[in-house]
Amino acid sequence: MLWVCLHFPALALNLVEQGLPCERPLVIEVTRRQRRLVYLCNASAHHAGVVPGMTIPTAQGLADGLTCVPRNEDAEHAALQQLGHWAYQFTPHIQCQPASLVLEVSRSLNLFGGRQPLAQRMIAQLPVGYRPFTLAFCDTAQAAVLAAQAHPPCDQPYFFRVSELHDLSVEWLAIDTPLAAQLRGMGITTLAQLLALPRDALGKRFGTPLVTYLKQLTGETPDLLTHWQLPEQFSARLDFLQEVESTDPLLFPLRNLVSRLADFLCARHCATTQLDFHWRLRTGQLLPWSVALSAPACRSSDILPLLQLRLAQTRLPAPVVGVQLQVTDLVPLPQGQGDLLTPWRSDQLSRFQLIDKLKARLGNDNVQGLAAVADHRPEYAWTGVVPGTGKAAQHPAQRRPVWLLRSPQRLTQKKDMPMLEGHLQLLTGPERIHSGWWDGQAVNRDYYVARQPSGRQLWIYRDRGDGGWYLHGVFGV
Amino acid sequence: MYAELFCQSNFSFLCGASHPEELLRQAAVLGYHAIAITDECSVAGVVRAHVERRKLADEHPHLPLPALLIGSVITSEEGVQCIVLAPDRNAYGQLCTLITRARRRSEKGHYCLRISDLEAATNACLFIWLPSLEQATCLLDSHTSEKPASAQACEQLMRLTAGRLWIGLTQQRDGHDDSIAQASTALARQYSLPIVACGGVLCHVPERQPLQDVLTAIRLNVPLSSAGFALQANRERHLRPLPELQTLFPADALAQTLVIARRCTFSLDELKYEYPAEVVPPGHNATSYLRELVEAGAQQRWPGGITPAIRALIEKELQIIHELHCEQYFLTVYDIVQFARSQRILCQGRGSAANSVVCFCLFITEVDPAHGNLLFERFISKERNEPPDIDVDFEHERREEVIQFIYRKYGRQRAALTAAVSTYRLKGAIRDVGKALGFDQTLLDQLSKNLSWWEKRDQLPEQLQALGLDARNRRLRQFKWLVDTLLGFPRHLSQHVGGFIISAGPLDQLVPIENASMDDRTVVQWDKDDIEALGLMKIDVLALGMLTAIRNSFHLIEQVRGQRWTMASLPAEDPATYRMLQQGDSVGVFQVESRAQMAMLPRLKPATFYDLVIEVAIIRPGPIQGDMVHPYLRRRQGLEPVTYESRDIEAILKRTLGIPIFQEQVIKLAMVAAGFSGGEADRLRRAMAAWKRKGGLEPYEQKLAAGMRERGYSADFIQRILAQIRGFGEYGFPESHAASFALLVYVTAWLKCHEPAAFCCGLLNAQPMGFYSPSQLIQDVQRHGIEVRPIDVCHSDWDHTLETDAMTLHPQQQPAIRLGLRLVNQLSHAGATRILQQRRRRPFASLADFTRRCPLTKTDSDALAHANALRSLSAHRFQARWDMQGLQHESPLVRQEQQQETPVQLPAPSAAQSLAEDYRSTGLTLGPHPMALLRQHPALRGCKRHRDLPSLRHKQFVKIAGIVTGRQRPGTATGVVFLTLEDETGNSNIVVWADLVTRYRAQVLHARLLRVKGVVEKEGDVIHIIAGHLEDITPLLGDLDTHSRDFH
Repeated sequence: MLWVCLHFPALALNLVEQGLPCERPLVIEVTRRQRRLVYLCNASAHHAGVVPGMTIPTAQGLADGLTCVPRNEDAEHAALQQLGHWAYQFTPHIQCQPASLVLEVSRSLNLFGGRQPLAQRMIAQLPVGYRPFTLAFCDTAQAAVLAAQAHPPCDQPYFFRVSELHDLSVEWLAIDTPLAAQLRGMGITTLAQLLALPRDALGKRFGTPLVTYLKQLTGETPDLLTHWQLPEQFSARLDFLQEVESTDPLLFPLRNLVSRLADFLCARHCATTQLDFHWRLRTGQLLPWSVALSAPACRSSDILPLLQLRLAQTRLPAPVVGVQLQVTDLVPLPQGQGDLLTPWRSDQLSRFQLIDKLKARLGNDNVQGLAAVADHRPEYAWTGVVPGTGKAAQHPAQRRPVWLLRSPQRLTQKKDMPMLEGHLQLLTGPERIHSGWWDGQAVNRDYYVARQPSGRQLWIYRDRGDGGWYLHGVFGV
Repeated sequence: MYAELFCQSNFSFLCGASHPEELLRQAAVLGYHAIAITDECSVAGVVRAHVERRKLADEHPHLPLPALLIGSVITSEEGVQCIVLAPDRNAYGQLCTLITRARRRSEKGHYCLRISDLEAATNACLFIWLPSLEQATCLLDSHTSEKPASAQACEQLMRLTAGRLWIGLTQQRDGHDDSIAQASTALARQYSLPIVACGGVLCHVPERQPLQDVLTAIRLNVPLSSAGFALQANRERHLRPLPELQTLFPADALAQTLVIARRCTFSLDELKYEYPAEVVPPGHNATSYLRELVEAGAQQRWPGGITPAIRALIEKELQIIHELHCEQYFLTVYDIVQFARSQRILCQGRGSAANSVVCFCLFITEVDPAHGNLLFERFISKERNEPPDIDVDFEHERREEVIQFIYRKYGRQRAALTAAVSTYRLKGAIRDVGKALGFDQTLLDQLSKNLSWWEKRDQLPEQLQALGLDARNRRLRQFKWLVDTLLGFPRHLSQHVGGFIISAGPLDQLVPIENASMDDRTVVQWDKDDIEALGLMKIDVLALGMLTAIRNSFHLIEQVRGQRWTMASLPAEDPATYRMLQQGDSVGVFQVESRAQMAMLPRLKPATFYDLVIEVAIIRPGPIQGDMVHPYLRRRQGLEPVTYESRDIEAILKRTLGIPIFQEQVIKLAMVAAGFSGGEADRLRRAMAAWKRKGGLEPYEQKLAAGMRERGYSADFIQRILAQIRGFGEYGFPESHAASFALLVYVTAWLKCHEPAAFCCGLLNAQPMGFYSPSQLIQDVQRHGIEVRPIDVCHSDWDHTLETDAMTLHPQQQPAIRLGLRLVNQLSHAGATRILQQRRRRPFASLADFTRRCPLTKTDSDALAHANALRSLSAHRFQARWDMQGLQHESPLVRQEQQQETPVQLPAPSAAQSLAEDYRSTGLTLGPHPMALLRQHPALRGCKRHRDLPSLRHKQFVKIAGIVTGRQRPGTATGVVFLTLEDETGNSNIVVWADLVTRYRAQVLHARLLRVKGVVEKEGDVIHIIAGHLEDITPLLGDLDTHSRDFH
């Protein structure tokens, strides 16, 4: 067997920089025994004297304006999974190790024309944003990992035999830190020293996992091959035999895709709320066409009517030659809630369906819900929300008009008293609102409920800053 | 006229936004008739307001001041809110008991009160009920048959407090005023209760409302933008001017405030402290018993007879004690000290009254008044009319026994620890305000990090600028104002380290008691300043590591020499001891072991006990900032004539060569040279202690200057005295404290000089304490020719011990120190005990024998091998570890030959490996010093050793390298950092000036191995190196584990 390890020593940093390239000092931090430590740092931080293992306060003392990002191991794992998916083109035998991918490639050598061409191809095709890396070939999986992790990153592949790794320090071995410390405590610092010791004696002292590991490392125990798992998300594409210029015929391929999606969701016992389509245009462009559902759905009959509505409103900028669908957002179907086919309560569902229909007709942005916000200032006491998500928030107990002016309207005054179509009679008040100093939108007002000669009740205030009277709202009769 | 009866200060913790002092002062400004400080289930803030009122009365004798009423607002478990007020002493006691009961039921910082609690003895208190709108609706609705619990509790409150209950009416202009007024009126009619106006005050001026909002956000742990309706809608909850109140409240409700206020006649001045009675045995009164004890003690202290001078002093002191009626105070302290002595716990008193003949005779102090020329000026003064103050230090490992004795003897109803009010410091204020304003966490980290011990806070604008922020920005201006205002705000009550208050009657009728965070501890709601201000008695029961070390040393000497020393029996004024100190040879000696003290000793050349008193007092931040050190040194060295401005001054300053060094002298100066009265001088003393925190020294300075000018002192002299007073700050040392400490300096110096092995061993066994690490202490004792033997399971005890090879030890000979197992990192005490038990039975024959008889945990056996403690049983530590692990996994049931394994010979560790292992396992090495191993390295070419420094010329260029074992940035020296570099021959002092610190920040902060190029600075025997260039050469150390101790 021949193994190759692709190791990404700065994976956590890669992931952050893919999202946000950073010229300023930046570190990835981890917390160990309640201490915040530098895990990785970028060039700028390194230049300021920051090194991995340092405490964050120390690093902050060294590098002004240091940005600290907590390490996200899930993201690293997900990234490795994606890379594994990428590596699937080279071999089906792929394993994920921390910050590394290990591939068994002996059967692929013929296809790619040998080790060197294979290595060059891997390097050339490696997705952008994953540098630096180390690529090392060795006889066993563990040895390949050891070789890759123990050697500095390089654009060229390393080729080793296990015997060439014997002078490496035990620190690099894939063993627990306490175990490495114990070995050091016996003066055993290199792999060669470790391998020279009788296996039975080692097993007695350090347990069988170490012996197993050493056997795997040297090839005494053959490595097991594992097959790469199928992706966890749905993705499919359809190519059209001819260009399509109007939207009507597109329903047919959509139905096809949705039907396949429904099968997939069914198999995985999942539902989704987000369907990401792309129309492939003749020009080569991809036209994104996403459909969001207000409630998770898994059946064609729930999804297709919406697609139909959306499709009717869509204008195609150019003829379409294909469509692809990606569904990444899977939600498991609720368990044990009655009928499997009607997982959500029907009244809820119909409300969601109404919102979906309104949105489909009027456009996403034109349908809004309202929610109360806990703020003393009337203009900040409400907000627009995604329909259906507004919660009944805490509400002031005092009397408030439902109709609030977009901005308060200055009233004329006569002998210091407010006027609007005649004298205003103050019914209740003042209610003093003096708040909001922290965001630069402070108000300082005395509010009154006032009556117009017509009998209409108004909500007015006197600004305690400029002394002027303002109309802010109108009460329903 | 108006009396505010509902007012919370910042002692309601994260609720009120003004100090009690500010509230009282504002009430005076507004012309209130009275103000009640009614913190939530607490009276923690009232003393501050009381003291403020006293101060105002002093400053403005003719101003009508508002009366201070004592009360507390409490919300019962059922949701009934009411204010409890104390009209007289009896009611005050009831209030304290009530608060205590509510507080003791809950964990620290919380309380739990049921309305039914009011049944038990609250019949003297007045109550103001603050009904909620829901409660009012419920009670007024005649149709509901089933009333909710809270409404029932309201009715219970009315029953229990009939005739002493008012309905509190608040008007906050928040839109509810009308409904609240209507509800109150209806309730008043229905239950025939009077209505009284209440402010519900949370801050003294409306401008404080933003801080009030921030405190709310901090309390809820949310940013302001999400605090919503938890914030006040407006700024009405402040002390409002009288005309405004008249428009808000009906005249009747306002008039009722005065009715209540006039009924409240209680003042905190009425609290009279009564001493515990049991310290006087039957058949005696306190006076006769104290005299008897003093006479008996004097017999013991001076078996040869008492000189007339001492006799006169005894009589004078007893007379003053009698006049102040504080015999029982001395008897109480005597009682505690007597207990400690009976348990052989070393102790030493200090404080204003501690160094008196009476205390010497009562064995409260060992400072012999006959030894020095101490003047007991500050021994309790009649004029100040305050209780004496004695702090007693006990061995730190055994203080808990003393504390438990006090609880046992006086009971928890009568003894409690005083509180320590933890207040907002800069770092916390920045963090909390920043969070409330929604600042980014990284930014806050940087702000508080950079300000911590590096930068001072007046540099905030520059700091902000460096972070790319504009200090003129509105949000940052708000931020700065809020942080500034929040500084010094109380956060919570914690327990004082050892301040005890012991009373004659139940303590909870004097001050409320609440739970401390530590189990089995309770604290009172006042801190030591409060207690002092009210003239109550407290005793500080403190822990001092050095006393443990001294007792250890005495014990060890007794073991190896059969000679029994006590602090009092050591030969006095021993020339050899002073000779040692004069050379700055003081590692391990109490107080004078710091870098600054060590540099001072060869200049000051102490030759008598009183010189030590001065040495202790003078190397303190206060005297250094007040520029007293150098004038004193110049005069002492005869470089400057000793002159006095007048004969009066001479009398005060003669013993310190004309330079005021002690707090007592400053006080005396104020009285003699500026005509301060005793009371004024005492207030000056307090102001001095507090001005760093609070300021407020200016009026005294003006008065001092004026008084001295009047008496014809020169402007130059006046300026100097003022600077010195300012320098004193809170660091000034009273002479009596200095004398107590000086005694410990003398005792430890004598031990170091004559019994270095026992002293070092005693210090090591008292660790962690002091300035130096075990490694440094051991290197020092080795340099003094003492043999230090390694840790060995065949010889070591848990503690470090002394070993003698011959049967008897020659008086000139020193024993060897055997390091103890306690030094081994990760070794459990249980494991060590097992080893010692087995060894006592018979010695270990082999590693196999050891492993069989001592079944240790893996961690323990690893730790032993790691520390090379198995050296007598195995070839070396690597082999020991390998063999141990093999032996441990053998099962005794399986026959030996079946588990034979291939023998393995591991190579022995190299010198560098041994060194690394030594440091990692014990923090020190007895083998070669790391620097000795590194000496041949090219990077150290041309570097001098510490030993070579004396042969260099002043101002000569030098290159030196060493392990950084200390970094100090004294508050007194702006921006300078002092580094201690250790090499194989000793410790060198490096001075890094501020500009260099900026340039080499990384090196100064983080290098463990440092190479310094600089210039030698010599003054007599004192050598410093002024750094010019620093280079971090830590990588040379490989993985040596040498950590410096960072002192702040």
